[in-house]
Amino acid sequence: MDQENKMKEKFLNLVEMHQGIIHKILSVYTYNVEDREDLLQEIMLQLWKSFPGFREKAAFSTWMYKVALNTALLHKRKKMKEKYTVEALIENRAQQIGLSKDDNTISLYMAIDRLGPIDKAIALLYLEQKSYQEIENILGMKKNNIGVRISRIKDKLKKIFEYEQQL
Amino acid sequence: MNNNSKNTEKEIFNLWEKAGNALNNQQQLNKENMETLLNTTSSEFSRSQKKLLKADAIFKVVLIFGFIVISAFNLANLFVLAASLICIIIGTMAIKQERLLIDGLHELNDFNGNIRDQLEKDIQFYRSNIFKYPLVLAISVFLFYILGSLTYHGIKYEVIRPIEDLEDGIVLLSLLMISFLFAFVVYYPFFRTRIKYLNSLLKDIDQDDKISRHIDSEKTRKKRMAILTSILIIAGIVILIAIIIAIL
Repeated sequence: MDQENKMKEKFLNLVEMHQGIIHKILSVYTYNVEDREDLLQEIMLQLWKSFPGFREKAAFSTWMYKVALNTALLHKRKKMKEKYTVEALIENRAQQIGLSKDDNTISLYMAIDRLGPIDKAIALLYLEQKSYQEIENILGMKKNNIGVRISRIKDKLKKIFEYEQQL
Repeated sequence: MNNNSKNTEKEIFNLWEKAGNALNNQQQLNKENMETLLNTTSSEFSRSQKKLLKADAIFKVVLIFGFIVISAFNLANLFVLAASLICIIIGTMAIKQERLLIDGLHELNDFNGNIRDQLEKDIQFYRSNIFKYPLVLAISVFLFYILGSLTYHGIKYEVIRPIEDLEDGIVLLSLLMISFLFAFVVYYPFFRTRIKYLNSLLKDIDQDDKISRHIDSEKTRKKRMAILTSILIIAGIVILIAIIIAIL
């Protein structure tokens, strides 16, 4: 019991320290408060469940990205993005991030929203300035493949972002 | 144009950082609310399947207990004893399979590799159990029907008569088939959709593998060419020096 409490304490400390990762993943993969709460709960449960398998040698943040992104990819959304109007999406995004609707950050999120689930994961890791090696460790893609994908995502993001800003 | 593109890229990074700061300021997780989250129940696919299997295993245990009771009341009736024994064996085997499925689903949650490995593991598990899963659940329906029939006959007619003609056997077998079909129709689409979605993610991850392999071979070819050219240049220079020395 004492051992479990110690492990829980350690787990909570580590998650608290790296919680930014969870917030960013939630901001990219959810479109409303209800889904956000659901996914947050799933990520926390999955992290805790997988924690005994976490090897101290590996960086906690890399492990956390793996588990949290995997959970986000497999999470069943209550309402699909397509069911929202653009205005509702902008409103939700602004509310979620805590910025005004006219902020350019919302345009960036609108651009990320148009990417597929895997591309979103790559974009997130790229924006977090993770190395190719780290992205390979998290996603299991080959380094060259990552390079090709990132350059394509970068172009796509830039184009959509510029278009969104013009609107 | 290139400068413009670099500026956009820089702006994107700045905005991302800004969003990160805003998110951190707005949504703070503390130990208290994290503990609350850990005490909630999950609605995730594999966990909900695990719960369903556990509930079904408990139901089967209750049915097995029912067969034991009905046998105890009909010790002289060989038909009831034989039918109960067969049902108990089938039920026990199904429970064992359910335990294996639960263990398999449990292993899916042990996250050790990367996301690609995990997706492959998930697909492999759902593919290999797409028939077993509805079958073990269908057995509960079948056992329930047999136990219900025996109990009904026992209560109404006080004597449970054995199956006398082929027709009864065919009806029973048909019921087993129908219960399996029913369970299959209910659960197969869930598994199919799951496998399809997991496959689409895996394909998406592997999407540019061909391109990257091509880039790899191109790089190797260029490297080989560079080495060969260097050797030829060095050899040419050596020969040239040798000729010059010989002339001089």
